Formats: sequence, C-alpha cells, structure tokens
Amino acid sequence: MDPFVEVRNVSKIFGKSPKAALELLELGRSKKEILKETGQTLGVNKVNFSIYPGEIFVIMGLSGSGKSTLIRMFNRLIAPTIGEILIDNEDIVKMSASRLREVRQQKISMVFQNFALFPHKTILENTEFGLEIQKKPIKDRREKAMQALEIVGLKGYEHQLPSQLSGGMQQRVGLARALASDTDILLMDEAFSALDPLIRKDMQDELLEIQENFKKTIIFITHDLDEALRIGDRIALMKDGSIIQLGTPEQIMMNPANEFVEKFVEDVDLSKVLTASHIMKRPEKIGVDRGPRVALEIMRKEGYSSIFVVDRKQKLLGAISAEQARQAIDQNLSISEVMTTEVPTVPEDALLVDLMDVMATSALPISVVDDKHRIKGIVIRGAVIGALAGNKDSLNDLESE
Amino acid sequence: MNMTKIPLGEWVDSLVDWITVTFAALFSFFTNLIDGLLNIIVDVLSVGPPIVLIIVLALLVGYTSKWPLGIFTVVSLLLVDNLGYWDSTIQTLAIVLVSGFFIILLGIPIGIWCAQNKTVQNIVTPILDFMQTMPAFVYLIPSILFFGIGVVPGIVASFIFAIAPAIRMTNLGIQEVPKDLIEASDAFGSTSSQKLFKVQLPLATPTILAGINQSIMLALSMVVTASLVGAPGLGADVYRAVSQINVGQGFEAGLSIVFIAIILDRITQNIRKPAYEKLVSRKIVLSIVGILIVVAALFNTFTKEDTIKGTGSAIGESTNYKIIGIEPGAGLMAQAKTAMKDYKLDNWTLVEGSSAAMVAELKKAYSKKEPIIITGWSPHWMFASFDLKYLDDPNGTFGGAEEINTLVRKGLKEDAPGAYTILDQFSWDTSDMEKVMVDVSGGMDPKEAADKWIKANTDKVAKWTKGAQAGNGEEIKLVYVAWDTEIASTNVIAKVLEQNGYKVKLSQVEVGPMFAGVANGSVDAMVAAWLPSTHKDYYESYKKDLVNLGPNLKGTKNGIVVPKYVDIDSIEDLK
Repeated sequence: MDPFVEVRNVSKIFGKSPKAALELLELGRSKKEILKETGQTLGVNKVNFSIYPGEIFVIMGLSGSGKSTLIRMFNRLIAPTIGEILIDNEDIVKMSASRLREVRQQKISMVFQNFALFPHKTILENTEFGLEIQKKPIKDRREKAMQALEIVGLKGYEHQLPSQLSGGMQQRVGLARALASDTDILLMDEAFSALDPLIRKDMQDELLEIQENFKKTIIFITHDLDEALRIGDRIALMKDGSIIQLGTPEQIMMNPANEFVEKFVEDVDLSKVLTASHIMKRPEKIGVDRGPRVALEIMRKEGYSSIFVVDRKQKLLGAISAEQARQAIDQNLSISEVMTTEVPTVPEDALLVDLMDVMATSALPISVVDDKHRIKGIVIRGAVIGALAGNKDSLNDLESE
Repeated sequence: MNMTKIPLGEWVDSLVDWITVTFAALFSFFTNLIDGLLNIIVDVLSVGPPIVLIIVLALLVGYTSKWPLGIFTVVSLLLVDNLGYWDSTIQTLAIVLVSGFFIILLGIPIGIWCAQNKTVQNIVTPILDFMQTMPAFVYLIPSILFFGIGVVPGIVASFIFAIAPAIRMTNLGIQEVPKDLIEASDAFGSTSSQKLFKVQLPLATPTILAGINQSIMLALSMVVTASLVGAPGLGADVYRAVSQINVGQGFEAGLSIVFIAIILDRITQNIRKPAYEKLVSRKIVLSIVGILIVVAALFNTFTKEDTIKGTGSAIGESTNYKIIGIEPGAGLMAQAKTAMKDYKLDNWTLVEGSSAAMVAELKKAYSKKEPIIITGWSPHWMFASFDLKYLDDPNGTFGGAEEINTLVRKGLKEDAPGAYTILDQFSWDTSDMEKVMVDVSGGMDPKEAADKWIKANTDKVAKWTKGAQAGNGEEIKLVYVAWDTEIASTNVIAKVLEQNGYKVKLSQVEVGPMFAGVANGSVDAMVAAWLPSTHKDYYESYKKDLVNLGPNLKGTKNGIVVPKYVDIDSIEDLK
C-alpha cells in the first residue's frame, strides 16, 4: 500500500535565526546543547515516517516532547523549519497560501484538546463552520452538519450554545465539526485528554467505530499510553523532539527500544495490551466423525479431561469430556450426540481483560476461533496468569505475525 | 549658560501654515462634510417637540438598561427642557454623535489593522499615547486654522482626543481572542477576512463596544473645551457660566451634561445585551430606530422651507452671516449683541469663542483676502499687524472711548504702600502699549518685551515710581486675563514693581475670576479693568469690595472690525 502521508526529515526550530541551530543540528547536537549555544529551541528533530490510508497513527509523548508541534505541521499551523510533509504526494510545506487553504478545507480537519468551539455560534453553526468557510450552499451544509451531529449522537442539541453542553458533549461537537468537512485525514490533538476517564473511554470507542465506518486516516496525539495502546494501529513515541520508537502497540510493549520506552511502558496494564492470540496453546481436537473410543484414548494419552470436537473444515462444534465419551461407549452413541455444544469462544484479538469474565464462568478452557469459527487455539488459566505476571516465556512469538 | 533656544514652536508654526495653505481644499471639504452631517443630526433630533425625543430616548434606555433608568431618562430630560437647556442639549448630543460616528468609522478599522500588523501597532501606539496626553486645548489651535471657528474644530479636537480607546480596545479585543479558536479557524482553511468577520470580530465585540463607550464619554467630556473655539451646546453654556462666575447657570448646564452622559453611557454599555432582549429582539429595536431616523430625515427634507438667511447682502453671503466674537462673558460681546439688535441684524450669528480663536480666524481670512467680520478693540496688536478698520457705529451702541482701570484689593495701601503708590501712578498711552504688544506677538517673551520698553522709557517709569517707598521683598500677586493688552500692561507693571523691591507673582485667569480674586483679597491687584462698558457687569457686582485707582490707559475703543479690503464702512451696511 502506498503511504498517504509521508514525513521526510522534518525539523522545527523556534527562534529568530534558526540557521545557526540547523547547522548544529546537522552536527548531531542535542536539544540542550543547541539551546545553550544559540538560544533557539529545538521543537522537532529530524523526523521520518509514513502513514497509510485508514490507519490510526498515534504520536505519543510527554509534554514538551514536540508532539503538539509535530501534529500542527500536518496542516501547517506551524511551518517546519526544514523537511517535507507529503500529503497525497503533495508537499504541504511548499504549498501556496491559497492551495494550503484548499487542502485544509478538503483534506485535513482537526479536533482540538480544549475543543476550540466558537462560543458565539450554536452547535449547528459550529459543526458547519468548515462548510461555511468553503462557501457551500446553506441547505447542503445544514444537511451535512446534521448528519455529522447524528453520527456523534448530538441530534437535538443543534440550537444550543457550546457553553450549555458538558465537556464530553462539546468534544463530540468538535468531532462532528471535523467530520462534517468530510476530509480523509483527521488530526486529533490530545482530543480526549480534557475529558474524565469514563467519558474518554466512550469517546475512544466511538472514534474506533467512526474509523471502522468511514475509513479515515487518523493522526492522534496523546500523552496517555493506555489510550495510545487502545486505539493506535501504530504508535510513534516522542522525546525531546525525536521519535525514539515506532511500531505496533505489541512491538512497543514487548520490545521497548530503549530504557526510556521501557520505563514508560512498565506501568501499563498488560491485560489491556495482550490478546488471546498471544497466549493461546495448540488445541487438542477430534473430528466429529470419529468414535468416542478414539476420543477417550487421546484424552488418556495426553492427560486431558476433555477435548474439542471439530468438523472436517476445522470448525468448532463442541467439546467432549471423558465421562461423556464413556457414556457414549456404554450407550453406543456418537460423539455429536453426547458432546457439550455450549463452548466459550473468543476471537483472536480479544484482550486479556475481556477474557477474565468468560474464564470465571466456565470449567472448560476458552477456545480461540477465527471469523469462520475454526478453532485456532485454547487459552488456559495458567497462561493468562503467566502473561500478566510479565513472564515472556508464556507468550507466543510476536514477530511471526 | 546661554544656549540658543531650539525653535521647535516656530517649526510647528510653519508646518501648520504650510498645511493650512496646501490642503485648504481638503479642509474645506471636511468642514462642509462635518457641518452637513451635524446639521442633519440636529434636524433629525429636533424634528418634533422635545417630548418625542424624550420618549424615544427613554424607551431606548429602558430597553437596554431596565425600566427604572427609562423613567430616570424621562424625568431628567424634562428637567433639562424645563431649565431651558433643550436646544443646547440637542447641539451637544449632535456633536457627540458626530464625533462618535467618525470615531467608529476610523477607530475600528485602525484597531483591526493594529491587531493584524505588528509594525502598524508599533507606529500607532506612540501616536495614541501622544494624542491622549497632549492637552486637548493644543489641538484647538491648529484646528481653528484648518477648519475655521465654529463647531467643526471642536468636533475635530474631540475626535482626536477621544479616538484612542476605540482603537486600543479594538486591537486588544481581537488579540484577546483565544489562540485555539484562531487555530481552529485556520485549520478549517479560512481566509484572513473570513477569520476576521466570522471569528475575531464577533468575539471581540464586547471589548470593542467598551472602547466605543469610553470614546463617546471622552468626546462628551470635550464639549466644554470645544466651546472655546465656538462649538455651541451645553459646553458653551458652562463656559459662559465660568467666565461670568455664574454658579447657578454653571450647575444647571453641568447637570444637563451629566444627564446626557448617563443616558449615552447606559445605551452604549448595554446595547449588546439589552435588559429586555427576550421581550423584543435587538434587531427589531435597531430597525425601528433606523426607520425613525430615516422618517425624521425625510420629514425634514420635505417640510423644511428654504430659510433664506439674509436679505441678499453680499457681505452676509460671503461671511455666512457670522460675526466672529470672543469669550462669551466679555462686555464686548454684550455690546455686540445689543448692536445686532439695534441694527436689526437678525439673520446674523455672533460666534462665541476666545480672543485667540478670533485672531486665528482673522489671520486665516486675511491671508486669503477673504471677507471677515470680527468684534475688535484697541489697543490690540492686530491693528499694527493687519490693515483693519472699525465700522461706523452711528447709534453709538459700542459707547465712546473706554479706559483701562487699575483695581486693587482693600488694605493693599496699608500692607504695601510702595506698591500701592506705583500702581496708583501707573499710566501710559495706547502707542506705548502697542509697542510691547507688537514685540510679544512677534514671538518675544513678554518679560523681555516689558524690559525692553522700560529701558527705552525710563522717564515715564520714573513718574510712576516717584515718591514710592521701596519694597522689602513682599509678594505682590497680580492677576490678568490672557488678552494681548493685559499681557503687555501686567508684565510691564510687574517688572517695575520688581525693580522696586517687590516679589511679583502673576496669575493668568478668566475675566470673572480676575475680578472675584481681587475682590476677595486672594490677589492684590489688576491693571486690566475695561470701564465703563466692557467689564461693566463684573465691576458692578464687585465694586464695593475693590479699590479703583483710576485709569492707567485712556482712549481705548470697541467695535465691529473688518479688514480694510472689505468694502463696507458702517454696521448699517451689514443689513
């Protein structure tokens, strides 16, 4: 897939004469050294990466790491001192002012940390702001704004003022305003950081849903690792203006690039990062057309108390226990007549935190199935506990994915 | 140390002269524009009987600031009408509205420009500081030269004095718009004008309106100052009261200004969020006001008969039927008014202002050889500098020759007998005085001019000091008005007193306070009482508390004066 956004060797220096600072930067000096020698602040330091269509790309870092500066370069609210940012193969840095306005109107919209709603405009007027700027006919923009408000669940509030809504609702308006312009790229600058945790989670779910439905390319800034892990397809970790690690949430969790990242991720709740596929074991299974004696034999040999039953296409049908097998032999029944069909299943990408509940209510190991209900593995309690304890041996090889 | 004085004042003088000549056409355009606008507003405001405007204003104040203030408006304006200040109030209101109109017209765009451009802001800010701190009187001087005497220089001076808050607050309001809203506006691809009109101005509106409110209040505070150059209205009433030490009239006119201030303040302060906005929307109210104004204006155009002012006298046409007067309290003005009655000059107006403004106006007209009619008196240096003539006064309204008398406080004879003797024997001629005056008007320091004359006339001075015992450093307080005659005489006598061992302190005041000061003993003497006619009113009210030492100069004259190139000879020719 071709990248949708490409960031090439981008640096930003804040100060009146960035030239001297750029030279030092070329020599590989650090942010502190440059500040000391030239008085210029290095905001972003030689950043390179690509973002693919439909991706949620999270840029994560503590305050002062340059992430807010970086996100503002995608729509040139802040111009890079040096480097290129290609959006759809067009360099936004060298664009004329009028072309830049077009791109801002049609390709990139933005959601802000403190919502940045216009206090003198109603919810509807706020939502249609982008379209108003584009001089769309009133009827069109009303219609589109109403649709966007419906997507974020704010239908019925359109004639209120922002000050009449709660923080969570205000940010939904911010989101609706960005969606109404129907741009491919959504920039979200700490969009949920000002919200309280429960509402933040709702908004994250909603964002994932919107992304699923509309296939936006989302560039998301956050300082919250949990949030990054939850919504990010890939995460770029920033420190002092540089990207120190870029990868999927698992890669960052499991193979921290350096001590900084390691420290960063050590407090993370692993149950929200690891999935069933990370800890599942090879399942013992038997074809449904086999006899109960075969099943009993396998169980005896492997030391299991039950075994999963599949059809010829490996589709999970149920599970049979040793007692059920013996009963079938005594009464001369087939496996399908005695097996338990109520088997707990989870998809491969289920988070460990979501497994707990299933595990607590079932005597059987949990089976992991793919979208065609074929069994891919089983999860036993010991593996979950081992993984949560940080025991990397109990994890499957991540690189093989 | 004897350094040459940097001729800053002279440079400013020649710059102003140059501007006056070069941009004459432009200035007369502005004068007509402002005058026209003012007349329209006055006509609109006075279209019906006073009660109509009172009710409209009361409704407007009530709508914006709750009903008790509406009732206050009715009561206060009825009081104003009852006291007889209604016409002045209309004039003042119109002056403030015109200034306010130009302040909004220029102040807001300049403020916006400042907010958008750092360089502009850096240039404008010190200019605003300068404009605000430079005493407002100073603007009056070039204003007269540029715009002539009357209401226009007053409006211009108020405008300059009052525009600063509008510019500053517009700039501030726009810069105070939160940064993230500006970012949001940019992020959605607004042009700068979209950003300005959809985001910055709406959000800055409260601050901008606060600035306009302040500006209008400042403009109102300028009405008294503006009356010095002939602007009519409540300011002129106050000025007249001050120059006549008329406490009651001053209070009445001042109170009327306070009422106007409260009404204007409440309307401009609350117009953004009227108290009864829920009952009637702001748009409706503004439309009604707009319609009323248009209807009133149309009504005026249709009903107004063309009031032909003169009976066709050429001199009247070319001077706009204006006689340029001086301070409203001066006896000369009272004489001029009587003369206008006696000679039936009903269609003429006597413009009140100040002697300085009158001379400025004369200078302006004289340099262009335009006809002008002034109230004049001699001795005055203008007779030495310009070719002027008195118009014949067959009815003798201006009286015959006058004398300038020396008045001292009671008890000076006992306290400072030497000074008393010198003041008593002080006496000189018109030609002597004019010598000093010409030097002073030519730029010489009055003290130097006095010194120069004393050195050249030791024989005369010797007569004054004859038999006077020398002082012992006692302080003698002399008081005078800033007329050229009085500046000359007071400085000369002050110098003579100093040479005889007294310490002299000079205070420059208005005519009323000059008499009051000597009468109540807070100052010792004055050599500036024009009697029997010019200062008759003052003399009559204070003479029992004064000692009159008799005339120090004889043969003065009052009258209507024109340049010699004006082709009339008698006041009767004005008819």
